[in-house]
Amino acid sequence: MRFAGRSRKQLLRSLLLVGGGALMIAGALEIGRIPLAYLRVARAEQTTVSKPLVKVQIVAPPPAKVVSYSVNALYPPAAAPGHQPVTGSLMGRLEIPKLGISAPVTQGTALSILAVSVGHLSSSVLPGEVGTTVLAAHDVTYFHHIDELAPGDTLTVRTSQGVFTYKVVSHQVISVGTNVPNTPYPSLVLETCYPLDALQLVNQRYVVRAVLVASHLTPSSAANQ
Amino acid sequence: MRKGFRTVSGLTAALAVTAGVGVTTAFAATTTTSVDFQTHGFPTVAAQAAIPAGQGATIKAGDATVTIPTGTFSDPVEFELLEGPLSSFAANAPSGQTPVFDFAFKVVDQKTGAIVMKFQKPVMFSLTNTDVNANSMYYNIAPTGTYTLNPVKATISGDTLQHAIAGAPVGWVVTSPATSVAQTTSPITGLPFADWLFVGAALMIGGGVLIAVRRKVS
Repeated sequence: MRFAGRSRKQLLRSLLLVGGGALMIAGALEIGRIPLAYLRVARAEQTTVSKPLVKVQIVAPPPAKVVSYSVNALYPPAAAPGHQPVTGSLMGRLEIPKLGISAPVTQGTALSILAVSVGHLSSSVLPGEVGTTVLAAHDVTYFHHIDELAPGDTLTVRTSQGVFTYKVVSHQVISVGTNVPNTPYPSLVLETCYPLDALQLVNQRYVVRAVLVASHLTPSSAANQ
Repeated sequence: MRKGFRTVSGLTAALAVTAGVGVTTAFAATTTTSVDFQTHGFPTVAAQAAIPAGQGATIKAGDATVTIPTGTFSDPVEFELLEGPLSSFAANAPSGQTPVFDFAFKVVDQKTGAIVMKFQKPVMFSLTNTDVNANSMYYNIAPTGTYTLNPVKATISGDTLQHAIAGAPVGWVVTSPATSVAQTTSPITGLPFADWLFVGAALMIGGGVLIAVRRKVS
């Protein structure tokens, strides 16, 4: 009897040790997701620099709307409308000199994409095109300081169609479910969670609006104008 | 920078609306010496033409065409079609509308050097653009940037809008119903760091409790 009781206690002690250890390891892994999120972003920032950008397939024939901008001295030449790239493909690079940001831009806004890069909302036009391009990123990574952008600050998006420079015009906080206007001229919206220091999921978004002020089309893209 | 703002503000008080056949808003004054179109949002000369006295002309800039009939000006004039960035006119646009084209005329009498504010005949403005549709609107723009619906409705046929203009107030804006980017806020742009932290801490505390209990089991 005494032997059986001692054996049960031994078993209980073992179970408590295994269970306690497992919980502590699980807890450490859960907390470890926080630095891991930053590490993944830092790694993606480095490894995507030399990767080729996905080539945008131009919609043929280009609609007249784009032609109107190419002949209008008021606006820089817009990119010809292109088909949305495959989700997950590296489509460009976003540079915001004022904030020291040089981030890869990936097609799509799934959690796995935003975990490592800036995502392009596939329901918006491609960068440089006539309309509003929406780029989203996490508030705790790439877009943590986008509220520091002031009207007049510039940012650049580089894609296979060219280099597009936008000038910031305004900021706004909108509720989830609100859609931004699709402009009849090339514009860009940077989007992230609000407040910018939120450590949980929130129901507001911080948006920075910018308009295209300069463009340098690649020869193949310019040929479609 | 020229000090034209005061001049225009003063003229605004003298604004006279002529709602005749196809005739749009015009200033009561016929000439002035300076208007700062740049301040009012029209910094770019999109097209220009030197028009001899009494003659007509057609001016094109992108999607826009301005047809000037013969006899519109009794003196030779320099006629400029000015434009400004549409984004400058987006903030004051009426709810649900987005600007698709903005413009102003700067007409300088070559004899006197004065800016011509009222024309002897209306000129015809025409805009053909895929953004124009049956619900497009034609607004006057005041020096303050305020939109006022032009009393004479524009003629719209397909994607072409036409309107007669008998004078040169600060400018006009053609708008169309605004469209929006679908599912703008669908990306989940936050990370639940606090949740991860609390769950992780709770698991570690739970594990610690189990190990502490183990020590008491002897």
